[in-house]
Amino acid sequence: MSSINALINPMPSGGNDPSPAESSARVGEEQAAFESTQSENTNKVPQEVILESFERIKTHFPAARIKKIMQSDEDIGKVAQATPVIVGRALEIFMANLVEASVVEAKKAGVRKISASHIRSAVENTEQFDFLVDAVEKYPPAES
Amino acid sequence: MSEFQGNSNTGEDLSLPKATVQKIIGEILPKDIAISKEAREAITECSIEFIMILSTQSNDVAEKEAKKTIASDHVVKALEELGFHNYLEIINRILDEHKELLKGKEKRNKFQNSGLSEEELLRQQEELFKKSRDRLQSNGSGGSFSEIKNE
Repeated sequence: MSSINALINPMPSGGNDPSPAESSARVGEEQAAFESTQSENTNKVPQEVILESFERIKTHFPAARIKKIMQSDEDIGKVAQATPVIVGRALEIFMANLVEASVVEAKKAGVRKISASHIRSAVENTEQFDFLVDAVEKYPPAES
Repeated sequence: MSEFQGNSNTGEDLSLPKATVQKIIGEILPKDIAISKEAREAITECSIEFIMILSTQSNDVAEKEAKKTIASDHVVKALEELGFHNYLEIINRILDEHKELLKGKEKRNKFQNSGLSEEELLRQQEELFKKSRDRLQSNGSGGSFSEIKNE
């Protein structure tokens, strides 16, 4: 229900003022509200937070580079002009999601600097990131 | 793996531009949270994995439809199949914007192909005016006009 709401209205609080204190306070509120409904997965970053982060992204990846990376897999043949653009945007949403999940991990550990261990925990605690488990295995697990 | 395809594995040359990754992470992060270099590298690696898994899945979708070119619709379907349902709303919105943009470009191209630029048209018009003025003056009712003109 709440996710549908988020899709319809990605910016519930109106303006997207970048004031850090306020936005992190909002993140905290939403986190708490979300956790009460989603107790089985306490690490999930709410859709609203991902969307807000995505909206803050003003920098984009060059499509030519995305295309090159895609085609570094020899199975990948021709791609339409819009394809690398869309993949690039999807990547930005993905990054917003991964970074926010890592912020949650760092806060849980009580530190203000994200380390590679927090990335690992974020991957391990988020179902959507299952495909990354092998990639982050080399980093030390976060100490608890 | 052909040799001239670059013996450098995906890691080195074919990574994402560091400055761009750094900037985007900076735009996402709350101001009071910092990030280590190693964590940034981990995010870059994960990003490349994401591109690869999405490419592979998109390719599968395209092949299933017997298409040789991966189109943006295949990427959308692939995201769905990979479980990134929550990305679709944004992606579809961006796709619509992109299509609008292309439509606009096409229109402009048609205009450019059929006619000339506004400047060029104005210049031609000016030339026609001048010609007709000259004609009027040379046929004209007297020398007074050309005298004035010559001065």
